[in-house]
Amino acid sequence: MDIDTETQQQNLTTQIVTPGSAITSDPAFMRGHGTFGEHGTIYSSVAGVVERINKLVSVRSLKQRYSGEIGDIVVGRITEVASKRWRVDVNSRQDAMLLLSSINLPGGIQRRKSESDELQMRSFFAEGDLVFAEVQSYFADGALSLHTRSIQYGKLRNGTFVSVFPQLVPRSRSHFHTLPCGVDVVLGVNGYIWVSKHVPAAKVEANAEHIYSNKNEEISETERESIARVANCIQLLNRLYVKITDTTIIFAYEASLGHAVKDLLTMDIATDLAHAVNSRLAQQG
Amino acid sequence: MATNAMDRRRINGPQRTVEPIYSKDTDPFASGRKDSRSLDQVRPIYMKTGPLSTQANDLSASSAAAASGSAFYEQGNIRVSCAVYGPRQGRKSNTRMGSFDCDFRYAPFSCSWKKRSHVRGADEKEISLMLEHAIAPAIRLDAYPKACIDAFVTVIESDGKSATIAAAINCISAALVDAGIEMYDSVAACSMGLWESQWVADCSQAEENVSSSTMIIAYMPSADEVTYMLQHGKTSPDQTDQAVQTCINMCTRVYAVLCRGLQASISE
Repeated sequence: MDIDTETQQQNLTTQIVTPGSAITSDPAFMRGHGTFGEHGTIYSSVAGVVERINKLVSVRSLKQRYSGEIGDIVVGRITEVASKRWRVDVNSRQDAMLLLSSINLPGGIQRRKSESDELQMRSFFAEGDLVFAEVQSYFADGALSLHTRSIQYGKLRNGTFVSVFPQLVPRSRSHFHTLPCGVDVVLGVNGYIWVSKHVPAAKVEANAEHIYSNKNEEISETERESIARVANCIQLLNRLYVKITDTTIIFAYEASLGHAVKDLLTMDIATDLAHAVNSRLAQQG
Repeated sequence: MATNAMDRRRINGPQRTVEPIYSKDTDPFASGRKDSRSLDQVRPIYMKTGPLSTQANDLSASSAAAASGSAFYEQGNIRVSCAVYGPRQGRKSNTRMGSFDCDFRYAPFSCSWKKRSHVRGADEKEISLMLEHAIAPAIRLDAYPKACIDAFVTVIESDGKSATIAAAINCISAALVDAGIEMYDSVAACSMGLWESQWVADCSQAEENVSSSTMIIAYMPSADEVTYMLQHGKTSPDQTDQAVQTCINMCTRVYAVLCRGLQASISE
């Protein structure tokens, strides 16, 4: 299994390994994610495919936990209200923190958070609420610190939640999309996705007092149906193990229009749609 | 006189007693092993990863609350399933290292010779602890500060107590790999029973009943480290030595089967 010579390096890219298998003992290589070194040999620590970028050897496994980077857009769920901070489940190894000092006050008032804000933290975010936030920094132990200091971030409502493999959501310029079918999608890079009724940005800004409201707006029957359809399409893409972006969601959505929403995830229709989406993606190149 | 001496407040035994008729002690090895295995042969293994967790490229995948990784493991009659959750936020939050917890349970119907209670028994707690000790050294817990990894093992069918524990270890290893948890190596385990100064590999319940001593070893083949060893019963040091050697050899063979299964599940 040793890959020492240049001629064998082709193998390195297609090699499938399990934890503990030796990848190379060549000191020229550097060890990346999913590997560990011992006695000058690089071993894999996860099961997956060996990847090599120049001199960096890493093992990519099919399932990974989300590991955050500063600037990531994430969707999370509040698990605990602690002193001056919320703990947020972001599908990571440990819960992220949302500090009271890194949220916006209702109405966008700029001031220091006082003791009275501390006492009414639950009126901003309570346990179980979903938040749309950005990763601001790391703590010393690797936990993420989030912030919601922008009008587009904050509490999520008017929609439904979908969880997918985090590695399927690529980091991109925009994670907030308004689909042509009148549905807003928040693609958290941590694999948590929020599908909701489209609310124009102007209206959100006008209602800045109500950013922490727990009440849904009026959602019509047809809006509910398209939200459910988009949610099922995302679930389908997840099962197909296809990258989830606004384009792929639209492909899946368009392919699904001939079927009832509730049938989308039944085995035979899902298989049909999978073929349709795959061929569309192949055409795109 | 005798009737007077009788204590009426107690239930008295009968006056006359007869010796019970003992069943003939049948020798399970009289004509080789029942399933015609050789003495150092492990029962055939079947393994599947991901029955309880969402898999890539599986259109029939189910709910969002699925486990991070899971495995089903069969070894002869033994059937074990394991679900792994995590790494996720731990309960004890001020630890530098991650923690690994294991919950081992027999299904009520798993032992054909005895109905098991739904309540977690003392032996189940003990085995849970054993499994934690056997598996934890293989996990890179330093890579998961403050996190915890939970494994839930259910024995669907048992055939030989030590063999079931060994099967559970193999099953957890597979489920951890399926969950993508960073490990130094997979742990493979196997068990033996001593019968008339002969070590017999992977004993079924009938064989275990007549063996005077049992041995379980969990071993990491590529790291060449034994993570757990448990012996019941009395043996000579030479016999123990021999058992350890044979067990390690068998673990290496089990490991090869595990790895092949895991690689197949990835390349699917």
